[in-house]
Amino acid sequence: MEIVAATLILLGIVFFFGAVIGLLRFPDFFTRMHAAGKGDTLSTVLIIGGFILYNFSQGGDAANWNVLVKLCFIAIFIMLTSPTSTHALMKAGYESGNDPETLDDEEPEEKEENVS
Amino acid sequence: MKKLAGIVVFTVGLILLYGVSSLDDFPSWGTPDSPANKSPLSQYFIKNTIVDTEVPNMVTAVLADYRGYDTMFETVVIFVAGLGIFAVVRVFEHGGASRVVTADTKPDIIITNTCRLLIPLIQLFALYVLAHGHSSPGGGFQGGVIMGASFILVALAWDLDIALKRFSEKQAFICSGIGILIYAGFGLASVFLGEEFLNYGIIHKILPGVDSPEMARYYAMLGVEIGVMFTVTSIMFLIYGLLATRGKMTAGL
Amino acid sequence: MIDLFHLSLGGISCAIVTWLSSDFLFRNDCKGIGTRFVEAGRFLLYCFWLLWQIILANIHVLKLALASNNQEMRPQMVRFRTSLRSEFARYVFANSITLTPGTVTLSVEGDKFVVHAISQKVADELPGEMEKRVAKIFDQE
Repeated sequence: MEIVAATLILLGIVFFFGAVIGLLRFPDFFTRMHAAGKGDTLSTVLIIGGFILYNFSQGGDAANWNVLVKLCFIAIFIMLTSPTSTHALMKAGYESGNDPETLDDEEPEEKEENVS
Repeated sequence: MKKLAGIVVFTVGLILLYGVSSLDDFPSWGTPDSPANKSPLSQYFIKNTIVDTEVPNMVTAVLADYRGYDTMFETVVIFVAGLGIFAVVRVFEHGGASRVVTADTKPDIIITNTCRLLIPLIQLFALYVLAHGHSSPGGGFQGGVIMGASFILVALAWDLDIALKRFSEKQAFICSGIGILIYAGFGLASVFLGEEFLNYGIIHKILPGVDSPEMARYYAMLGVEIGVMFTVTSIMFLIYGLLATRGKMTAGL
Repeated sequence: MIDLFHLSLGGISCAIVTWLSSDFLFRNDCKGIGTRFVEAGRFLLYCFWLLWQIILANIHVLKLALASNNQEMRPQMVRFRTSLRSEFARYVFANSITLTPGTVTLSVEGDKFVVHAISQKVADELPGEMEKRVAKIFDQE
């Protein structure tokens, strides 16, 4: 049980790592929000899942059930609020005139790179 | 210039590290020998809180009972802060000459729907923090702030008019006054029963089903915290509304 | 831990919250309780499918982030109209889009969705299977 919990927490950290790398490497604001918004949700939920399993492996009395329920609520709230905040940020960026880098914009840039 | 700044920051950091770690001015973290823990006052609280008040959380007992005067006037300070901001910022517009301020964007369905799901839960959590102030971290101030945040969330997700329909300016001021009256009422009740102001133990004579002064303190502390929560909730919301709309208290932001 | 005093405090708290903001949680009262339970059950099943999709989404982003050249990345806007009718169904659909492979909802106005997609592959899949599943939850096929 503890091994499974540790694996879940490690997986969560790997996804967090992916999110951070994406945040640094992606070209513009919108693609960066992709990395940040998604890496957040799953990795937090995985880490909380790991906590739940670890909590169970320590024996199950009343206090443990208490902690279990609270952790489940935290996971649900993160699933609810994380996409909402991602959307709010993206919308704010879009409406303030920050045009996303799209398919058509990208090609001339690549040509420029080839020339240089 | 950058190098100079770097050197300054580094030196200050070193001095701070030296000050924190190597001098004997500060006791190490959490040691029982620290002056704060050795003083007779803290010894008294640690030994007697549960005997005097039946409250497991010492902080709540100190805050709402042993140090009741201080907390009462803290609540008054919050109330006066709200009044002060109202007096400085609030603009009353007479006549129809003023520009009508409306929100420039429609409420977003994703944000409003998430808020619809979350706001009742936030309010429930605020009440939980209030009611559990006895046995876990929490109490009137924290619960009040969370409760106020739930109303501010309405104003952020929709606009201030919708929030004011639920909790109008007048209601907010009345509630903040009621909070202090509840607090002072518990104090006066103990005066009329023949004890000092805010010495709640005596209230067991009029509370039904409570036979010991200790349990009376326990319940009176909850009542006092409810009063604090009323004040903090409404003043939080008022300050947000006044500052966000430059005193107009209309849709705006 | 559990005694009559704290239980009654819980009851009173629930009553206060119901009085303050019940219209947030249940705005349209035309649906019966039975329908709500059925919808909640179907929603739970949908959640498991969604969780699997979220895992795929993260692997996708992870791959894109770690790839040595970003050939696969084609950020673009996708506009489409949804067939979902109720506002809550649209909300669930929009949040699911945000959570799953390489797509984030930019704006929802009426039945018009604007979605930002990160690569060609995921842009082609919209609205697709997810909309059908959401429609199935709320009986709006």
